[in-house]
Amino acid sequence: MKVPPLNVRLGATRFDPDDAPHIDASALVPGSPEARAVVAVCPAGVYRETPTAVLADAAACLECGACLAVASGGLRWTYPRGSTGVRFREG
Amino acid sequence: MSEVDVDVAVVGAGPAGSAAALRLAERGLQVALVERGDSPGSKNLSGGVLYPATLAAAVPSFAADAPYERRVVRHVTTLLQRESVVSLDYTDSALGAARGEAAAAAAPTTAPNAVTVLRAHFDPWLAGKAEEAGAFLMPGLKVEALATQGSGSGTRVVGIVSDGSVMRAHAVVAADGVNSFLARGAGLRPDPRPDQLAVGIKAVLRLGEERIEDRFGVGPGEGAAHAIVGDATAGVAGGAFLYTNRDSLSVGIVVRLDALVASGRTASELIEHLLGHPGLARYLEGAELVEYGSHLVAEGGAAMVGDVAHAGLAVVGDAAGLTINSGLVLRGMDLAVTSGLVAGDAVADAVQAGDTSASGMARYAAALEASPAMADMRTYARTPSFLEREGPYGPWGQAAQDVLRSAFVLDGAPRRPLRTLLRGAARRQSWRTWLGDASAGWRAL
Repeated sequence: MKVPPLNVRLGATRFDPDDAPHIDASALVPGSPEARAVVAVCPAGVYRETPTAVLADAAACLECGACLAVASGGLRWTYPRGSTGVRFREG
Repeated sequence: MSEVDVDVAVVGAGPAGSAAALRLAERGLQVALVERGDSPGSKNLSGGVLYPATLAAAVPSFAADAPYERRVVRHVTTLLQRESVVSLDYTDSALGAARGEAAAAAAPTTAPNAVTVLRAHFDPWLAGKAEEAGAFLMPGLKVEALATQGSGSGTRVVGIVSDGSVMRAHAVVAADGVNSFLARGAGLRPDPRPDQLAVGIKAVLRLGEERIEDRFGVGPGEGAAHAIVGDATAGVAGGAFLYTNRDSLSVGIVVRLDALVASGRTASELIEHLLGHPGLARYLEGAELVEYGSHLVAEGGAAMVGDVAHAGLAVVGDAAGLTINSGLVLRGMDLAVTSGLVAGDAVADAVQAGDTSASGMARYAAALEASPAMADMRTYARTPSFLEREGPYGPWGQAAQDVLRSAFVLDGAPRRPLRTLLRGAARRQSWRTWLGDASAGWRAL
């Protein structure tokens, strides 16, 4: 099949974003193994490295927790508040 | 016993939590079933094959009203290479496969061996059964932490904290999923290691009922479950799945986090590699993506389960690491249901005996240990280390391709005997590799 790019795939999934971000990546050091691992394992492309910081777009988070498991403590990540975040209609 | 708001607070309305709440309510206890999603299932995602025997015993109306997608009558195991597909295709009357046209039309009156499910449709049904039994469902409520007294080994769980207020309970059932934040937050469970976790990434593709039945060779109501290894994950340790829903397909990968990081690839690249794979085109062509999601999978086996019972707390389902990846079969939801039912009975006993201390709750750990779910966890205890071997992710598919090509592709040159072909294919790997795979495989299975 013609593979839909990530932004189209995410566009098919419903999100009700929490206005208070549930991810804080400010302690991650760009270029560090932890930062690279977090970027690599996120299926939603939430994380982006710039020369000075690791940025997180929490609104696209699928809430799996893969990032937290590889971040070796360098990431603050919780579930968004009740009734917000991803809302699977298929699951 | 001290004053409480409810007898038992169950956190998470997935299969484990809803099964626990159902059983607790049946036993006459006052139960709150707390779910962070707006409705049960809205935060849940799995590949989608459920083995429903235990659930159908607990919920006798399963065959009549469970909203499953298709009953699985065809299990296909595939070694996928870039240029070839080698499959083992298993159908059997024991799987409930229809024989003849009359059989295909008959609706099953007993629960099938295996069914496909989509969690946003399935989980509300099971939570509804818990509600019918008397459990009080509280959706849209995120539990931030366990309320505890004491510290260290003297920690006692006395309730849950949500929106800054405490709901006190004689016991809490943590069915909060693979991340297991509640037990971890209270210092009652270690953080999982990246080699004990895999990330599952899935697309739901709308295809239509007729095309599904044509392409997968199944009748109305019947479905197929394909497990795929090799180039499906571009050689990264893990595998792929392709399951038929009523009018859509669930297709995705499950890759170990440590292997994914070491591969230098990204999760998004790997799912794109699968969806665009020429070996799957005949199934996926023309399908429309309707949802994309991901979920973690516990792959640490029995060693990861650890302590599931503490003073005032029982840990069930994914939160307790209860999943099995045998290489051929992926199981989680049935183990979740079993642990939920076992915990429901044990916690009801503890509350009714007025003893939810560590020793009172230990009856859950003992009952889980004695359950078929844990017996299966022990049976497959060596599988995680077997699946760390390289064999399944490339060399096996390459060897199968080499042998079958030599046997079937007639180019005018004289044929060589099969034993020569097998020897040639085997020599691409060292004997040590094959013997290692064989002996690890034998012990794992």
